Amino acid sequence: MLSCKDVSETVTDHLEGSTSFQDRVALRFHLLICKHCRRFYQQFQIAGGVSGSLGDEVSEPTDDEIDALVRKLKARN
Amino acid sequence: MYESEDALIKGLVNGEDAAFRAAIKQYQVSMIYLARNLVGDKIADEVVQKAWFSAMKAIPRFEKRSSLKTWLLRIVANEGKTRLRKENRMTSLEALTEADPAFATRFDDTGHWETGPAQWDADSPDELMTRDELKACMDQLIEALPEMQGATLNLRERQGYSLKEICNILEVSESNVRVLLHRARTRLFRCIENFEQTGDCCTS
Repeated sequence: MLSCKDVSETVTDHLEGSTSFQDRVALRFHLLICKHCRRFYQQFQIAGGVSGSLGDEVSEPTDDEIDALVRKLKARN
Repeated sequence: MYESEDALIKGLVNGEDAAFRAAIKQYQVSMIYLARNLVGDKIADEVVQKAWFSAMKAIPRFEKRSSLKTWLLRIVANEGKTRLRKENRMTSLEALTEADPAFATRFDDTGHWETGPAQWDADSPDELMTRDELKACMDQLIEALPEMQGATLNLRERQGYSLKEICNILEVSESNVRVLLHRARTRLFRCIENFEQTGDCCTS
């Protein structure tokens, strides 16, 4: 029987599709009967998803910046 | 101007200005994101510039076993790791084999939740990030993540790379990539949960 602790340890493997068919069935069954793990599983996905929009945005290099880098690259090679 | 990646690579090998420009325009942003995760904002630009030098030197020998972008990111990762090692900032990957205590205290002897996870006040990442204080807190957390965790999280969540591709870029095993990703997401989860319950940021 899958425990809640097992769910917390394998959630990333499941989200990344690195688990066997049997493991997936066991997880589905566990999530059906355990509301804590249902919430955990859903919120764990949300937590991972927020990172896509975090940190300072890197802006595209300007034409001047690109030109400067090209000059440096050519000078070195 | 360059319709295919092959044409672009050929242009780079021939030292064409237009090819350099096209490659920088297309890949610079991704390269800087990765470098920032590994070495921090201050020296990321310098590391990326070094990576371009190395890449242009090596481009005639590029065997196209991966996409040009993946190959460039791998060079950035290498430059970044070299820099970290020089400054003794590289966290050993051996530490990954130790058990992660993240949730251990949350379960009873039979492996059931002692106190279940708290309900969050949002159903999606976007909804969660509309709250400025929490967003600021998460920004801090991301910046403070161990280098390889930050890099793995960025490659997976922001740039959408598969675990296999991430192994190739960071040159670590797939099981290590999974552990790195799991730990990074776990930190985010715990930090959000803490914020939801106390209103405080986990890193302050």
